[in-house]
Amino acid sequence: MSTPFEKATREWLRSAAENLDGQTRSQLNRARQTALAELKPRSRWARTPFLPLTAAAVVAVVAALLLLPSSNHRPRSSTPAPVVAIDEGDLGGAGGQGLFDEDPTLFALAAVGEATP
Amino acid sequence: MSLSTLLMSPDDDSAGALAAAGSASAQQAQRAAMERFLAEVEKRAYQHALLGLRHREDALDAVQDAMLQLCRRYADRPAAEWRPLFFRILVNKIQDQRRRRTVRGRWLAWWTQGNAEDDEAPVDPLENTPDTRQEPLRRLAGEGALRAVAAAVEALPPRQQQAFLLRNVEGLDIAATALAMGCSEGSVKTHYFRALQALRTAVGEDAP
Repeated sequence: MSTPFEKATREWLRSAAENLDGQTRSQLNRARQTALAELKPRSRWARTPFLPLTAAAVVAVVAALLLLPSSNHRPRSSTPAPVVAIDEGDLGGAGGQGLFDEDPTLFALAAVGEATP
Repeated sequence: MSLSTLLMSPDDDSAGALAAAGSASAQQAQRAAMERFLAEVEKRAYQHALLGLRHREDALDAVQDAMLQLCRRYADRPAAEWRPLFFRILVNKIQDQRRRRTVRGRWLAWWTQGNAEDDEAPVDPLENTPDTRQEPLRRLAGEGALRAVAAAVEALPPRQQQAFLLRNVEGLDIAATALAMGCSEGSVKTHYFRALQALRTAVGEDAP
């Protein structure tokens, strides 16, 4: 609720503001046009809402796919691999002489057999 | 042919054209709304800056800077927020200009004191302050009550002057005035009440 004094001062000051001289009004007009020229049209992407959140989510998903261990991406067979029982005697004896150990005696016998017709 | 062209169906093309046309019309509407707002507010903003700075060119600079900043940074805000934002910017510009003047005045005073012994006629810093007697507002006021009111408003302390101009002349409510002045609503009420008291005293008892 304005008092008469407030109303009167408001009217006086507003009328003074509306009656500015031509030079000042021209300068204000130029200033306004200069400011309006700064209203640049925004790009289509800039108008997209939540664009930063979308971009961050995409980056997170791609990073997660790249950084996960590669074993996780191998196709897994549905049937378990067969378990084969291996006897230790097939691979090596009690004395440490296995199938894959070299036996000098065997090589010597083989050499003699090749030499005799 | 670009990938986007290959991927875009005729329906997408028409939808994109419609969207582009819609955005163009929206931009035109925004520009028109901003122009209306600035045209409506610029004269009172200049008056506000002139009363605060007491210098015509500085007042014009402050108004232009406030317009530019509003268009650059806050044009996307709802139009209802433009007025308090614009006056917040303007009030800050006026305060910055006052601070610069204060610093300049101190330097000038120091320089004058330092050279007083050498110079026969030292420079008076007050000579550099603008003459307010022939400012447009005063000339417009002419003789009488408006002249007295304008002089009284000019003589108010800065915060009281801002509260009075924003609340009474610009018509902002207390919350918007607090936003524009960067203070609490209680401070706005205090400044406004003191401004009214000072104006009544300055203008006289016979004022309306």
